[in-house]
Amino acid sequence: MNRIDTAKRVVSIVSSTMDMLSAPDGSRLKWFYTFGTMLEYVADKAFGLNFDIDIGVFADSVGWQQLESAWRDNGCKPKRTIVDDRNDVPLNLHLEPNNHNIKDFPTIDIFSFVKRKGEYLYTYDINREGKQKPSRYVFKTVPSWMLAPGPEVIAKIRGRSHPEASRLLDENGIWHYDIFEDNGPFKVQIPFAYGSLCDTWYPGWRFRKYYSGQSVSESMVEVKSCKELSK
Amino acid sequence: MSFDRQKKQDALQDLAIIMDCADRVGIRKHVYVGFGLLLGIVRDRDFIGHDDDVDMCVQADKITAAQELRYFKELASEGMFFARRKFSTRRSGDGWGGDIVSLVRAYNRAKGQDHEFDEGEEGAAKKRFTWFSLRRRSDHNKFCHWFMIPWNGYYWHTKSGKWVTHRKFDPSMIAYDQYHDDAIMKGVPQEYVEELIEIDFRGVKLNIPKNYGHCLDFWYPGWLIPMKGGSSAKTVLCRVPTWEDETKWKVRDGR
Repeated sequence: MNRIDTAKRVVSIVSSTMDMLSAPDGSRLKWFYTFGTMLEYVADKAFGLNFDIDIGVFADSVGWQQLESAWRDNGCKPKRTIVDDRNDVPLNLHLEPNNHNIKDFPTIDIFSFVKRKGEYLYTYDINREGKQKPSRYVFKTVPSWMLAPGPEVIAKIRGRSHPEASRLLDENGIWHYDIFEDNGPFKVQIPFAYGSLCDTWYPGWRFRKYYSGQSVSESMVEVKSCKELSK
Repeated sequence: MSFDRQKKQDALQDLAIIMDCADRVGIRKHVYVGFGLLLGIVRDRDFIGHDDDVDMCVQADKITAAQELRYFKELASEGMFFARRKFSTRRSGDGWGGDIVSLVRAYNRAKGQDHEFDEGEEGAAKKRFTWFSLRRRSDHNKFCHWFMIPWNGYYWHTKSGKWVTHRKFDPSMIAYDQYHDDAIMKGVPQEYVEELIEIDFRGVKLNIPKNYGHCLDFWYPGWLIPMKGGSSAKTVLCRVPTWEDETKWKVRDGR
């Protein structure tokens, strides 16, 4: 299988795995490609060539046990997890292929985006403790409008005269685009302000090359316990 | 007329000339590509096929009236002529506006294209450009120049009065009385276009906003998928009853 064939298989598996899940309230899981995976698509319409697969989910839309179980069923097992010490829900889930029948199946990082006062927080193993509940939590932040604009903004774009608008942008502000071929079966979904996010995480992104682990974020929040986030 | 191969070659040549003119009067670092061509450069590294003009922006607050006039003279000396222009009294200055009007009129007369200006020459004496459109006689490309004016946290651009009619705006965004002729400005957050970077576009050095992704999200939401037609989003608007009295300017931010 060449790289494109592998990428097509991976896209299909991610879509089918994530789309079969629902939120605790029964609504559809709100997920999107983020970080390097988003960058690859936005800059080059590529997928999985230079990065592992990064997926973002809105924290309030995740049934984590379901999510973990679904990925186990699709040949991936959790390698590292950071959990919220308020409720043991994962903030970051690092999955690795486990006897996968697809050669070179990538690792998958799922990031929970936690809403707080006009911004979203996310974390990964930046504290390097390797524990599920580290002694301090370091979150990076991103303005909330980049991921989830207000409903009026979404409605206005969806309602504009172009017939494609309401098909491409869903009610949660997530864009649904084709990859590899127009109107084919392969889909990606990326967050609302993907250009702004590329500027934020990968300055100069269109005119230089980025590699895995090079995302930039100067805005951080550090807490000893996630309980401090609720204050 | 869309960008076919010949038109692209001409446009690249014209872009190089425009940037050279800006260079010669010391404003190169304040002239940048915006709107549709920015979209083409970032998305396709090319002109947009169905586009019919090129949008250049000038950081109006960072150049002097004298530089503005010299810029025009340089453009004229390269065979560029003004297809259309608009002035505002917003930035009343040092009298160069009158000279520009006289110069444009003389130039157009020489080309047999004399026609009346929107404002009388006396009134125009205090005025500076808000917008003009350039063409070169040797080809058919149109180059809009938007003089971006910073105010109240945004950079604004406009063609002054009669740029747009009330029909083009969502009435919930901005109240527009069809009997009024107030100018409408479109705004972009100042931090999106404050800082510029130089890039190489098919062998021509051009400036673009450093935050080009922000600009495209703001001007063309969902810009990755080509959609024919439509101007930049009318997300932030300002109604200007009189240029002289900023207290009467009304901003609507639809974000």
